[in-house]
Amino acid sequence: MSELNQGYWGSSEEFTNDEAFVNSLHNEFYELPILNKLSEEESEKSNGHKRRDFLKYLGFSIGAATIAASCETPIRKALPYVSKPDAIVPGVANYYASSFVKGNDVLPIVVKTREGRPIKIEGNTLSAFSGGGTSARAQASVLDLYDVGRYKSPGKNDGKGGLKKTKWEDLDKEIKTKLSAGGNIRIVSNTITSPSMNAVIQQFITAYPTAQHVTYDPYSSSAILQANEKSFGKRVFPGYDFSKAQIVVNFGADFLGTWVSPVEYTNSWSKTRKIKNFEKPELSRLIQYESNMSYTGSNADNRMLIRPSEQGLAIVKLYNAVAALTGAASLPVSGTLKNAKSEKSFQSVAKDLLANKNAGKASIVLSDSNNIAEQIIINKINDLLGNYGQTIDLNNYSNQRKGIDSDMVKLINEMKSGSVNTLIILGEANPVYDLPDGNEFAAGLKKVGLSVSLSTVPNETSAACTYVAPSNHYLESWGDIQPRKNSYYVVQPTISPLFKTRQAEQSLLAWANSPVDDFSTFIQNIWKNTLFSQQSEYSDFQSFWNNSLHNGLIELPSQSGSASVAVDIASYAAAVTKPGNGLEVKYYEPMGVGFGAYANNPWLQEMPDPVTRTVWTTVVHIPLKWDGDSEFEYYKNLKKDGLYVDFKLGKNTVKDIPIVRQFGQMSDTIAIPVGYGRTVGNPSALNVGNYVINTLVRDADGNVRYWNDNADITPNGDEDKHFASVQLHHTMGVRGKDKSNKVINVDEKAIMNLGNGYQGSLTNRSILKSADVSNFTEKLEELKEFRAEAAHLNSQNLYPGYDYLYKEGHHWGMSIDLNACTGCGACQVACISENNVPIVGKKEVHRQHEMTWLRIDRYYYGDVESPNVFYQPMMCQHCDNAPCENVCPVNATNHSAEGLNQMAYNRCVGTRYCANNCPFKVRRFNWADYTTADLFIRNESNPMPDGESLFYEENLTRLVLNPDVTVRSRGVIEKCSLCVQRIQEGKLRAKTEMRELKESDIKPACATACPAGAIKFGDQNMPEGTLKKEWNDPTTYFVLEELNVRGKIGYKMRVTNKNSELI
Amino acid sequence: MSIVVSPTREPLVFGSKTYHQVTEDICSPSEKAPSRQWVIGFIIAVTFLAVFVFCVSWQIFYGVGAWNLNRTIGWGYDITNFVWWVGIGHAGTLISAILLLFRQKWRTGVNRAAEAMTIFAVICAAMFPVIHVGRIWLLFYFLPIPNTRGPLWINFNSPLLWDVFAISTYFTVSLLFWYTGLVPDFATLRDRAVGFRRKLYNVLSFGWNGAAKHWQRFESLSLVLAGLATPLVLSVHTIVSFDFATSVIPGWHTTIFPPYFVAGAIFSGFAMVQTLMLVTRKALKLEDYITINHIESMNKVILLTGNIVGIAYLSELFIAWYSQFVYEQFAFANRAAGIYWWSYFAMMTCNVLSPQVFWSRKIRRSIWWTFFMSIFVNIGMWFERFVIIVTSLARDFLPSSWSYYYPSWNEIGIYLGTFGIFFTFYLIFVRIAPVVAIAEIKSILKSSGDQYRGKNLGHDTHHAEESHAENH
Repeated sequence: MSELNQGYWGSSEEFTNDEAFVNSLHNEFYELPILNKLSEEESEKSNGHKRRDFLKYLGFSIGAATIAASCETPIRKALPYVSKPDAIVPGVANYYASSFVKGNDVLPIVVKTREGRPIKIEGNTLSAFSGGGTSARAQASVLDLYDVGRYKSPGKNDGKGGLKKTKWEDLDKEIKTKLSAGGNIRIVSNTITSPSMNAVIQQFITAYPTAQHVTYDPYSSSAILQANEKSFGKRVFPGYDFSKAQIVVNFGADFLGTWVSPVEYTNSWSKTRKIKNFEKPELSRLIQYESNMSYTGSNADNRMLIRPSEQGLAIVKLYNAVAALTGAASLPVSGTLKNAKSEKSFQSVAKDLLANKNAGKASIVLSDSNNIAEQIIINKINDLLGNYGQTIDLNNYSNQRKGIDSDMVKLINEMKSGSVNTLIILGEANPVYDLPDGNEFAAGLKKVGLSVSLSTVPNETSAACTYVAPSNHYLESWGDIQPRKNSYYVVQPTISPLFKTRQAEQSLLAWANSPVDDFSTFIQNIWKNTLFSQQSEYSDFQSFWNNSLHNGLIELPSQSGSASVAVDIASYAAAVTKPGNGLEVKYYEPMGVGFGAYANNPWLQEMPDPVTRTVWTTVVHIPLKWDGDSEFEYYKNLKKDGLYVDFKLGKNTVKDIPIVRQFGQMSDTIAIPVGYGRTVGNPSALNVGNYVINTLVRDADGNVRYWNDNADITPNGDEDKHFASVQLHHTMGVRGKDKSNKVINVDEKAIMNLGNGYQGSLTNRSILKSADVSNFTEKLEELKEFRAEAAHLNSQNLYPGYDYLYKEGHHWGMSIDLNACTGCGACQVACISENNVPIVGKKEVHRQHEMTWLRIDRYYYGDVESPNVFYQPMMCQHCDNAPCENVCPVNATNHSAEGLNQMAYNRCVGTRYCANNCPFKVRRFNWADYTTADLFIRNESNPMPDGESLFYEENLTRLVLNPDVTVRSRGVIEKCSLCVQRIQEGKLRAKTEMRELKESDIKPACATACPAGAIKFGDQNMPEGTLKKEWNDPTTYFVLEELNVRGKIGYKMRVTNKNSELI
Repeated sequence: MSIVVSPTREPLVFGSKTYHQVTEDICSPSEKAPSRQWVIGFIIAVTFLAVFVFCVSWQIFYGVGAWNLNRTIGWGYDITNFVWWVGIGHAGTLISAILLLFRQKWRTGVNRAAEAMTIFAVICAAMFPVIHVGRIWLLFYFLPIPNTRGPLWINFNSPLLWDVFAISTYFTVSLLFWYTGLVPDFATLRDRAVGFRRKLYNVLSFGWNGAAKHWQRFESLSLVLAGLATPLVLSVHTIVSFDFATSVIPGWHTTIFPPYFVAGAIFSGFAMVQTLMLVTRKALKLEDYITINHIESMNKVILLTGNIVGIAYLSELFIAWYSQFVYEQFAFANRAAGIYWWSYFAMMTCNVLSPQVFWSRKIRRSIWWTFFMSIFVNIGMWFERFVIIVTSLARDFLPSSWSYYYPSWNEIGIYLGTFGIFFTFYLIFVRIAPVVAIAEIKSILKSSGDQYRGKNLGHDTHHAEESHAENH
């Protein structure tokens, strides 16, 4: 027996330790594959290296040398799952119903996650509240999750702008010790719509009885709450139902853009703007009284110009006109409005409103005024018109505004007197920045012993607090929202917290020593106790809760009741605002950055303002006037957008604000957006725009007034060298009375002088098709003739084309209802999010290098003094006879069999010929390395303002990228693909489910984002499909149809419903 | 080539040259040490060449974003300069090929330098399509070579691809034509040279020994190449114009472009020849060979082509009005009166108005007038391309996308840099090659030399002497 032998053996060879056998033990296979054998035999025969071997060695060594020498690729780690989570299938997206929450902005949504990370926000189509739409802000919120500037752990401010990190346990201990030491505790927040959060605060107050909760809102609606309390005894913000309102008379409220609940309002308002009857179209009417061209005003049928300070006067005049027709007592009024047309308008508006009422229809009279008396008179007008119970609901009220401004004044006084010991600031509340007396707040904050900020990101207030206990991003949190009394939506986490943060509710529960310290259990308890009992569908709570989580919502039926104003309004007539003097300024909340809370988000910073089309900047809107001849006159002779002015108000001066010359801006008034000029935040917020909030004032009731008089602007001779506006030409056939009082086309007459550009021929462009209800039939006929003419021209063609190919299979297309579209930009941000569209920063936008695949063109038409506005979403038209395709020398852009104009990025050399030849100018070229996907690593100066890293350079930010869409390197063209990845996904889904494809399987990102349902996608070859139906609509036209490019985005004519007496 | 010449024709060579004198005069610049003027010129040219290299390197490193082009205006200085240089490259081949076929003897004095200019101008032009792409390292995608990149092939529908073929063919034929002409002259230089220069010219002259068979082959090859080059003169700029004519952009989509571009190209090419010749003949003392008569002939061509171009401008305006197509009308109204009015004004003044002075014989025969006019014409023709490319793009269909363009430092640097390429090559050329075709001049000496023509001219003798005097 040999030593090798273990005492058992399998064969005699093993037993004897035969040499051949021992050798064979080292081979894994007893016999080598036959091919090896054969090759061995052959090589034995040839004996030595052959010519082929030589070539192989040569090839290998050169290849190896090349690879070793040149290809040092950066290593990016991708770790596979050790054990695969149940819910995650690589490459397949998961969707979770949740809600967007940021400050007082809330919205039910569905979150798309890929491999466990949220990458896209969609609307919740089950929600009657939002109608499945979203806002640009909700779309962009997913980027906030991956914000590199977020607080990454709790800590203590070191007073020098830094944060000394602590552990949660230590922080909790310190805070609890200080809390239990007694003294006044104040919790400051913006309006909280979450019933559970409110319960948490109640629990906290129970634990610390000296605590009080103070609510305020950056764009405040205090006056509405107070007026409703006085009028009806209920301090609530009413629910508005625009879908039932035939006429909306609006004094300045930007309800389609930023005011309170824009998605809800847009969704319901746009329902009344879609034409169903082509014989006699029925549309609602929006009459806007305002000084500046607000976003909502730009969608109005009639825009009447009043100075901001004349709003009270105008409301009283409207009341008197309505009262005269209804027999109610009139109010004493003196003074006339500056604008003669507006002064005369009230009789007509009142007549309109009453005729509407007598026809059994409802209306809404609305104002964003923060003056209590004005709101009470507005209430009375609505009361006279019978709108309560129909369009204005005090039963199913809105929870979205609860803040009372005077509470904040009180708090500041308390703080300054040193009677507040502890201040807890929740969520996005940033009073140091967004209060007009923010510096007073900051001064008071210094006297507070313990101040804790629960913000997710550093802001001016959190930087001034002693402790920071950072909350989660909403996508990492549990929660719920109740935007209307009867509508409840859940917030559920879609990813574990990325950093050592803890959601605010959890922190408060911990500090309150709550018996239930887990917030998700806490919510379930709340829902069990309140909602579960109000429904009858589910008998056990767990299935009720699971279902609510799945759908994301519970919407209970509601009964709206009428109400009448129970207060004598006569005494209030005197309390309305008095007309002011001098230059008046109106402050407005911009769509993108809001009241400053969204300034951290580059997607929103680079979303052009719908009206001014500027990005990354504050602007002063200055009025312009047509001189009746060939020139425009600009306020203070400021002849160029982007020139700097110094804005002076009282003792405050804000230096270097660039101007825009704004059509529809009333003379002797200006408008300025708030929300810029942040001093603490991440790079995209800093040094962008100017801080103007400190120039706001409060009225006698403590309510913040969003206008001022006696302002002044002085040109300082300088200009913004990087003024970024994505649209430099604005008008498309504005009309006005010339010196002989004849109405002429101002575009053709004006600016004929050399060098400014001949502007004629603008009206006949086959880009915009508009009508009014009064001339609808005529315009429809004109459109029909135009399309017939275009079809005739297009048939004069030598080439047969490829139409026969597209008759088979799918032939995708789109329809956009320009009458429903309000221009909000949700689609644009959705597109950026879905398609990894790079953000380029201010300097690059200034150079017109913006990359957006979808843009919303804005044109002014109609009356030159107060024009109507035409919004047109513009993206690749996917022309079936595309001019871009035949000019590409390398076939990088070509047509798919399904009619898509596609881009092969790998193939693209970057001649830009396609972009030149695109009549719609929708192709975008990667001028520089915007996404750090380039061959040359980081060779560009940073396009982001004062940032340390390029956008998308941080790995954290890159988590937001959609893995289904290629990130483009520099030097290639990109453009809208009609979300081809979604088309493919829909087709595959239908295939795996072994069924025919339905149109609902595929929805491009823009279509799902739209709060107005204006964008519809479909298949032309589907006989009963939506697209077919939309395109057969007589109002549909195609942009530049006569060019025979055969675009596939159908646009539906924009139709206004003007009150002809107001023109 | 002793063809009977009309007695009213003016002599083409002055100074009662003998064949030997011709050889001496033309060979001497390349046999002497470089003059101070040449050295200074060469240093400047190489400096500009360095600017070119730097700017292009920077642009490739940074990306096309180094230029001020934007989402609306995808081509600016790059393609303007490309078309401009290609246009300049037209005169040489026209002079060599078409004038050869038309038996225009005056071409012999200027054809060599004009052809050299053509080649250098085409090199400058070809730089721009190469560097204007976003990913220069993938430029080989343009070539119809079998590849492993899938079934994709180049797109034969694209005018840019036609450009690749047109330019490369034109360059190849021009180069062959030029070099063919140089062979006997290099042989002349070789026979006079010693040492290294002899070896160099020995190689360059391909063993030419002046045998009758060589001359016969030389003549037939010249004729064949002339026949090949003639359609190319017309086709190159026709195809370049297709870059614009086949598009849909108002102001580009114009059927008049091919003849209009060709006329413009000859116009600018002749102007550039004038600019160079006036300097060269003075610097190299070749006034006897490149005479006032040559200059006048070329000025006549400039006047003719300038008017063709002018008529083309007016026809465009007329057609825009006549079409009743709003976009077309707008494009032209905007060209003349819009934001780029100054470029249209520059184009009209330099190209249409200013050449009208050449109706006067006195001005046609004035060196200074000719020199300034040639500069004017080239400025005008540059603006013509700028007007077509930039103003059309800046104001196209959708007013929302209208934009404005001005060059960045990099674009200006690259443009100036191409002058560096051009003049570096040209200065080397005048050092090593005969600037006037020796063999061809000799072939016309007996028929057009002043000593042979003088007594036949009779009453015109006095005038001939007078113009001879003007030359000096």
